[in-house]
Amino acid sequence: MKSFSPKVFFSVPVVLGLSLSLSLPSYADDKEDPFAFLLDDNNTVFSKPQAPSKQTDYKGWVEVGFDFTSDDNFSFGQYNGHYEDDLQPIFSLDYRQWQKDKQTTPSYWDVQLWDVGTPIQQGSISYAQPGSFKLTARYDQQFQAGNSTGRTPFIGAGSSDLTLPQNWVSAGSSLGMSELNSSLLSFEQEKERNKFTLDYQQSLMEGWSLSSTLSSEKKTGQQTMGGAFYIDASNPHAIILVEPINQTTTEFDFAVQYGNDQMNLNASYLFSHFDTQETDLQWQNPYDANYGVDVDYPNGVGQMSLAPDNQMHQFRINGNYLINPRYRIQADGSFGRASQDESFLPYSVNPSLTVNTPAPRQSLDGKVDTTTFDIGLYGRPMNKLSVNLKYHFDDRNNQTSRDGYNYIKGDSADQQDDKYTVYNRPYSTQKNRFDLEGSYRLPYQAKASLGYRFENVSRYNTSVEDTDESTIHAGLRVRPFNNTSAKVSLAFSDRAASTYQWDQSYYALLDSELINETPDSQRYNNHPSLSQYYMSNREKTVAKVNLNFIPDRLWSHNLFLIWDDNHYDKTSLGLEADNRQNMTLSSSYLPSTTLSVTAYYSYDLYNAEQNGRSFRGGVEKNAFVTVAPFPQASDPTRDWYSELDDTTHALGFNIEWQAIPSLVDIEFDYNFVDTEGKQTFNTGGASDLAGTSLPAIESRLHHIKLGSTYYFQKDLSIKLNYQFYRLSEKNWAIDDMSADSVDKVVLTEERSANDNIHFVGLSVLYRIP
Amino acid sequence: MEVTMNRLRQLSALFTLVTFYIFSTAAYGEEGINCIACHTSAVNPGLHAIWQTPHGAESANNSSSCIKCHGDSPDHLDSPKDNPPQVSFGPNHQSTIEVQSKQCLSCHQGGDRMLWHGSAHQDEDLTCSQCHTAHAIRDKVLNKTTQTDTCLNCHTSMEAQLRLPSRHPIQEGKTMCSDCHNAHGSSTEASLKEPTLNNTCFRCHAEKRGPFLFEHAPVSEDCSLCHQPHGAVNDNLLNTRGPFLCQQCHSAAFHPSQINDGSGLASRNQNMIGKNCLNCHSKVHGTNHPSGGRLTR
Repeated sequence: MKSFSPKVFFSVPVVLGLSLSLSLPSYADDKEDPFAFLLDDNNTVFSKPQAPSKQTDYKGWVEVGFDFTSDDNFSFGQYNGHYEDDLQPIFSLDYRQWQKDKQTTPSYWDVQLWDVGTPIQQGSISYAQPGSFKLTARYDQQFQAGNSTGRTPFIGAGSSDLTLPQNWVSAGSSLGMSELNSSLLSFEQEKERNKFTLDYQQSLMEGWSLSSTLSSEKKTGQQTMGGAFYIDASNPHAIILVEPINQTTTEFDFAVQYGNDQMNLNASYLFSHFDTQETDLQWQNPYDANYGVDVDYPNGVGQMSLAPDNQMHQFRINGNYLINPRYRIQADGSFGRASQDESFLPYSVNPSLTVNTPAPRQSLDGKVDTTTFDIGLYGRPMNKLSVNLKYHFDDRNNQTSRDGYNYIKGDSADQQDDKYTVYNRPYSTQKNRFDLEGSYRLPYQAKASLGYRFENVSRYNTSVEDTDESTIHAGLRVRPFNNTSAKVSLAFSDRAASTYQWDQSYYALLDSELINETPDSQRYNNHPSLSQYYMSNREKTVAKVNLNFIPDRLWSHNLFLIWDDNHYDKTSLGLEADNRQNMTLSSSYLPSTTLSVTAYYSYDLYNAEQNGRSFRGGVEKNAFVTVAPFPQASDPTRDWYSELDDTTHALGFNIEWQAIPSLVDIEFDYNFVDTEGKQTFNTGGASDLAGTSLPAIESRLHHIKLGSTYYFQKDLSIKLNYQFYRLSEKNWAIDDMSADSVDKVVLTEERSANDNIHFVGLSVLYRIP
Repeated sequence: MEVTMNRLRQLSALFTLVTFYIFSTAAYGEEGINCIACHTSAVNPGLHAIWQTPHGAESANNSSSCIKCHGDSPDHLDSPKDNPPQVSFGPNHQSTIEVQSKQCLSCHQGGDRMLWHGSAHQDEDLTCSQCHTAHAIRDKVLNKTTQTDTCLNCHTSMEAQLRLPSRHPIQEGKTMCSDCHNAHGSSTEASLKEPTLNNTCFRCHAEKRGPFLFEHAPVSEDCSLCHQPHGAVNDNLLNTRGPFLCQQCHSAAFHPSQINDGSGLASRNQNMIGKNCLNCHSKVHGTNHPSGGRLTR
């Protein structure tokens, strides 16, 4: 008999234990759980709270509470609805209810409501069967609070008819208007949008689907605009008006899509209709400018046209086709027609002004056709080599007819002789662009790219007919180490413009009789040496650097640099050069799943250099004299040079901390933005040109947010938010300006923002099981 | 005795085999593969959010949804700690970019994703999962108020621009990056959704569309010639403040060509104070008034 063998005795439990250990799930602890990151959630103070991922058995949540803003303002509350010193409700809801049973296709109802009862409330309700259809109805209210410090002497601000008070005293300048200050009334500058949208998506038979959206947005409110009475440009009499806004934009789009393994196609139609209830704005002339009793106060009336009704139809087809696993072709084409045929307003609303030659037509019947076409061949001839060849065509064809309009100047004088007729200039452009790009994958996850672009832009009815621009760009992306990656790119563009026809706009705008009366040397609107920068010769250099460094699992850093330099090398008057530089440094620190810290600093500088020549008309307008004595237009001592620097420093800091996990969350957020706009001048030496620098235009913002959420029950939590918002601005164009500061412009006495706002919100959040 | 020991050995072997079979097939349910036998809600609660989304809709807490995205993953089933799923989107094990993208695009190729290939994001080797979260009840990037945070992870220079004095309501969640841009690629420059830049702007600013009787040439060509849509130091999202912006293209006799320097402040130069050129020339985007040839009506 053999003795008992330990191998047999222990083999069973060993094998049993082994099989158990291999087949049971591996319960890694939280630190090693690769999905631990999903337990975190970004609950920023002002974002809509999302159910933490760990709470997956909830259908949604509802938030109820109130918040308080300490002061009226137009900065803190510019877009968030908190522009008044008041208490507002907090009510938001997020809920999704599934119907899943084995007999039917699963479906769900989805309801989202945000900020109910506030000026920025929005909501949506959807019903969907995934893979089949989805129907969504949405409502979105937007509110923009504008500068509310302005005042106007007009009665009826917000209407289309602005009149002055009975006791108004007119004068030739604002200083003489003795009742101006006592007549000033506050008005709101605000805009509200209310948009309803219905959206439907349907999957059809294999590969086919359709979608459609219908929306209607109503925009109401008020904003300011300038209006002037004038008989010539040297002596306008202006006042800042309050313009009413009452507009509706209706859009409808419909798309059909088809897709299979080899191709995708989309055909769509978009219709947009813009309708306004306010076609014009009339205002009573506050001046006594010796323009005649029918033009001066109280009889004089001005009329400004507001945006006319318009509509657009657009057809678009786009898609891609997989030729073979290495080559794909993509195309996108569209044709759109925008049209407008609103009846013209009269040359002047003032019936006492004589009109001998009526307008050539009753309405514009304007049409602009926009055609675009893109086609691209994307290939991978070798495993590591990608090549793309693309062509872009873009044509804006303005088919509006060109006619002469013997206009009335500023509702201030009878119609002039027909030789003063001006002609409208319908602008058209056409772009052709070719791109060839290649990239090659190098070892260690690196990639090099090289590309060439050629673009031709043709313009009709402008001073420059053609510009051609060639661009070479190169990039290199490297990943020398697992925790370090860098991308560098450089692009150089050279644009050549055809001959600048300095007299083109003169001939296009004015009547031949007037042109013939004008000396050759004065047949221009803009100085012949001026180059309009977007159509002129240019050398452009863009360099970008993007560095990522992740030293360990706790830290990550990013540095982004961009240098965008434009040099308009053939320009002597106009924008000569501009340059934008940006440096952004951001870091994040995530020491645990319960704490995250992020910070960023950004520096932005925009520098522009532009030149001009200060000159009068008449005999001084001859720009072609080469020997002294020079008329002003030919005199280089009358040149002025301006350099603008807009600098921005921005700093941000954010901490999100589960102070007591599953019990208390705390978030702290701080943002600082400092902007400064400086402008310096030099002159060519003319004695009447000072060349004095302007004071800086400044703004400084401190914005602190502090939030805390206390989960005092499994499905119930309390949120407390506090914000401090401090904005100070300086703008020489409006600060310290009273209504009569400018003799021929009645201002609104608007002031720059100088706000200290405290905001507190308290709400209860309930998670719906 | 020997017979008994032999019998004991046979029984123990049989018992071992049966036990091994029972426990090893715990990962195979009635449907075959049973991912959630291991990835239970107690262990990986975040994953189970997917049952409340369309991705997990049809499966009602079974594994066919997992397989649709992550594949059958036989190697992972055999040795889960050593082998990741067939298609893994992270965080620890990442399938190649091509594998990840192909998996998502197998269902989501059409619509807005149609021009993904050759897009800027695809060229940067971005995967869908770097922006999208399937295992969350609400995908952050599809939410108006949280989408921007995702975009700013890479587009860091925008963080400051979105806070400048003149801006769109992006921080407030009223305008999203995707209202103008198609992150999945488009044929328009800067991945804009509409065929042209101006058409993109007109979707919200239809009052600027016209056509107008008297147009302003740069307006009809390109809104960005004057405006910075992401945020600007100057009012109305202008690149440069007036009157200097206007004087970059206008230098006519008399007031358009005049120097507007610091001495103009003391003299209260009407071309500089208030709305500068727009004190009179307010119809800068174009006008339909027959007396509007100078954009003053």
